[in-house]
Amino acid sequence: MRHKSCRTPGSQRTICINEDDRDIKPENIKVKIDNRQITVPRGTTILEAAKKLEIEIPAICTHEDLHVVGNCRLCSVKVEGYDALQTACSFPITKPVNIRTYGKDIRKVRKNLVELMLPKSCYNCATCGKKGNCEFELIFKRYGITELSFADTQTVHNKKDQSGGALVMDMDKCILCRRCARTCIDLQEVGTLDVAGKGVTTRITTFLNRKLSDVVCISCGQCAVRCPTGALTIRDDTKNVFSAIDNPVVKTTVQVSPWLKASIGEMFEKAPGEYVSSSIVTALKRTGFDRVYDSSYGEDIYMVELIKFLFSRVWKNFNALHETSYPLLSSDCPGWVNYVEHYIPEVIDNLFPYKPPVEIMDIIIKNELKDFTSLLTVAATPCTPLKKEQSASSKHKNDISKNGLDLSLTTVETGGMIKACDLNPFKLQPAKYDILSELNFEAGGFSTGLAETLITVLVKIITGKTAKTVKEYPIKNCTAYVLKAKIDSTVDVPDYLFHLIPSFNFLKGEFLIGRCSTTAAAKKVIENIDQKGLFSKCVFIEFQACLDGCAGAGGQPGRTSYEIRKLRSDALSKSKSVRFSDKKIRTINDLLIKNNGELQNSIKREFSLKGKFMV
Amino acid sequence: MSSPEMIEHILKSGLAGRGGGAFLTGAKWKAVADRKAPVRYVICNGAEGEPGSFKDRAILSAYSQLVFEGMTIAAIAAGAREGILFLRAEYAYMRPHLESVLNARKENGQLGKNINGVKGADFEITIREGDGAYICGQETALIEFLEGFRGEPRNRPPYPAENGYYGCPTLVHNVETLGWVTSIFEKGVKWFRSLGSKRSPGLKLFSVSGDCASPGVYEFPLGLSVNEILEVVGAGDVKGVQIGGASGKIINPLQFERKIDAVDLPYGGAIIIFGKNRDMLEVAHSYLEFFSKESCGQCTPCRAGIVKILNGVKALRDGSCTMSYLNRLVELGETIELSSKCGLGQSAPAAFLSIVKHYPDELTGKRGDNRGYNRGEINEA
Repeated sequence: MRHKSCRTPGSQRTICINEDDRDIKPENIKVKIDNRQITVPRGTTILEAAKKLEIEIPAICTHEDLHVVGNCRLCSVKVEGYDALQTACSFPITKPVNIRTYGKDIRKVRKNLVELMLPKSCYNCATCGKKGNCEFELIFKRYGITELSFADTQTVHNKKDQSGGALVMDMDKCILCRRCARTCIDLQEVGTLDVAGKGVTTRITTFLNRKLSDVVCISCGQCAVRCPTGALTIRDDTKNVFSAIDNPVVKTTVQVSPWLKASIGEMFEKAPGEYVSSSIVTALKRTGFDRVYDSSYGEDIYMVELIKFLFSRVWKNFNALHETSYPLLSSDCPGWVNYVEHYIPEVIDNLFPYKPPVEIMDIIIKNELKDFTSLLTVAATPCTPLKKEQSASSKHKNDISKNGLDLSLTTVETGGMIKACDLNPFKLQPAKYDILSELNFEAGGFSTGLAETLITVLVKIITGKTAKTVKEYPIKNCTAYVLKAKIDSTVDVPDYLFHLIPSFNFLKGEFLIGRCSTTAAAKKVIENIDQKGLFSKCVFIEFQACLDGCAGAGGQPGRTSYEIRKLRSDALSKSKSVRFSDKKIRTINDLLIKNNGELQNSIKREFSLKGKFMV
Repeated sequence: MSSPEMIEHILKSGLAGRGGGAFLTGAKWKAVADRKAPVRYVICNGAEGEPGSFKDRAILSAYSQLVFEGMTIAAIAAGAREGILFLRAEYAYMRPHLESVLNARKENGQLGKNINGVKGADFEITIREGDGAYICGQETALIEFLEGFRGEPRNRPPYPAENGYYGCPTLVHNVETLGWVTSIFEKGVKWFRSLGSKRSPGLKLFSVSGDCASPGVYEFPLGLSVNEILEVVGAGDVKGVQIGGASGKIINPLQFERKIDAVDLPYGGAIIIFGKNRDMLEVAHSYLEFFSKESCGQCTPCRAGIVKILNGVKALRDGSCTMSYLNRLVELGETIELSSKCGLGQSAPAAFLSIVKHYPDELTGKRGDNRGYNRGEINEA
């Protein structure tokens, strides 16, 4: 389902004109764009209609995940009957009109507009944190502007703010398209970034113009991935990693997330969805990492612990030993955990109290390599909030083993490091991942969807049969959905679960698991639970802070759109075939309870209430 | 009179919006009434922020009954039950007076439930005060403000008549328009049509200020020429007249025979007269400074463009502006006019562009180069 978010902050409002009319009758309207006829449903914008005709209209402030604002004015076109030009992104077609998208007036307007937009410090593309992914640069260069008459627009000079966990703000590069503010308010309902001031002093800023370290930000990086310039970027840690690599005493390890493999190709001129094989191992080894691991193992361990915890919780709830029958909420997404800790503390007790898979993996790696005195463990994942967790823990440097991950690199950084060594993973020989002696099973992971994998595995355990699931969207205009499975017969409880749940019989009937991406949707889901909606009947709900999960994470390269995210997740689900077998669950369970549950205890975590204000 | 009859009545009168848009009032009513919606609103725009305009103040302080009556008529015709009078921050002193008028109307049964004993004719008026932003006089920015957001214009279409206050069909009218509505229902269409010109019937209030013997609020029939008005207000030796306040065009004496109506010289609330000794560059400078401050900062051309023209005018004054740069400024001005989101941006460069066009002498000797002023070059740009 395409994301159409719900809350509409002020002028950043979508074209609501359709809402009334859509119910009445879907009507088709004939329009002429550049003398070419096309029939579109009533309410389609000119931009959408032009796209169907493959007419290129430049647009900067418009992003398909966000509301229409029409404030860059770059997509101005001539609509017959109007004196001024109209923005193609916002103009809804409600009657037959003639539209012209080129011409002397339009060319002049667009050229002047990009020149007005060019921010003061935007000439240093070579060292820009956007690393060649700049949408504005592409559009600017189109107009062949060699002499600047108006470019020096901004009189305010802003210092680069690097104090945040993952986000870096360099507001001298801002073109005020407001994509970030719309992301932060509409998509995430976090509201770290918003617009302040008017006229020339208009700016994107934080609450009271504070430093990023002094405001609440969940570090999801969704603003950075949508920023068309280098104004918002993710902090670059490659320097630290290279210095560790260059130091012969330090042993460096890297665990590679499956999501990274689905998207890193975009950094090497491949189309989205081109999956890199295990040749990434060769590339990373040549980049200088001593060990390269597959991080899917962490996900498998997380999953088995989750299954055990869930069954014991369900049984306790059934016997009313537990006070609440609230659904269990996932805790594998660091951005979501940040959001809960800051914004919805009332549900904190319902979070699954275990560390995220990356950190579980990290513990196992550190355990394996405990003989090395100097060790730097790196996770290569598209996840940006991991950076925040890591920077928070790095305050206590003396006891590194207890503080989880040493460093995390985003897809962009990892690709950048490989590029900096003049390597291309698509042209290298594949190699095998390094083996961790404790993990003697085949990694599968759940990256294509924790909820989907979980419901299959659970239904298999309970009924012994393959699950047939139905998807349902209980909340209007919201991407959160529920997976339904019917349980009509049950089998005996396997021995490794018997001490937690004596029988599956009471689970007969409907079995529900929810999934939700973006924190704005999460807020609605929590409301739905409070109102005893469909989500309150779920046994478990997976939450992800980023739109469409890790496929749209803040550390992913290039642009983000529904199509691109879909291609990435398709690539990943095609590449994986390892299933959760009974044998595998047993192997992992044995590993967890070995030595009086040493591993099981070390992967537990606690959450803290952080509140909405930073001192 | 039934609602369609009322709309027909006002359509026949040919009354057009008196705020400057000159959109047919009856057409607006029809658009709102035809909309399928459970709730509709009437908003009276008393934001009179246009420099040089003070007619709404006069109406509200002396003839508020007419305005409230007009709001009630409009509401009943369009099917609205709630009305808002938006009062600019500077007019807050009038609020106690206006509240007392409203209370008196309620006691007389002219507001509230079953107005004048007609069953189902319910209407309430609340007064809301502004916070001093010029842009909140723009109808969609006004609605944004009333909803509690940043006062920034929305994209149009959809217009407020389709999708306004909280997404409901909304009538937004200037104070004066609503006053005329009452008069039309009182004295009839024939009376209204007998005044003014054929294409723009009726009378209109003008705030006249600047270099003239007797500035003030005047009531003129529409369709008078600029010369006729200048005679009445006692202005001699006039170099230029600006029709429609700061965002209006400035015309030079060659065009003083033009008529003030909806087609030839669109009217706003204000007529500002510039005498022989005025420095037109100074005029442009002060207007541009005003607009660059009052721009909401939403769209690129208005936010970043106006300040560029302002800097250009400063350079012209200092004598450091070259001919080619002046041409670029004119081109930029046209870009701002064409591509801004709302009326503020679209009309902000008007004063500058008219000065460049009609008062080239004011610029000569103030340019950096020594070439003679080439008018053709400017017009071409």
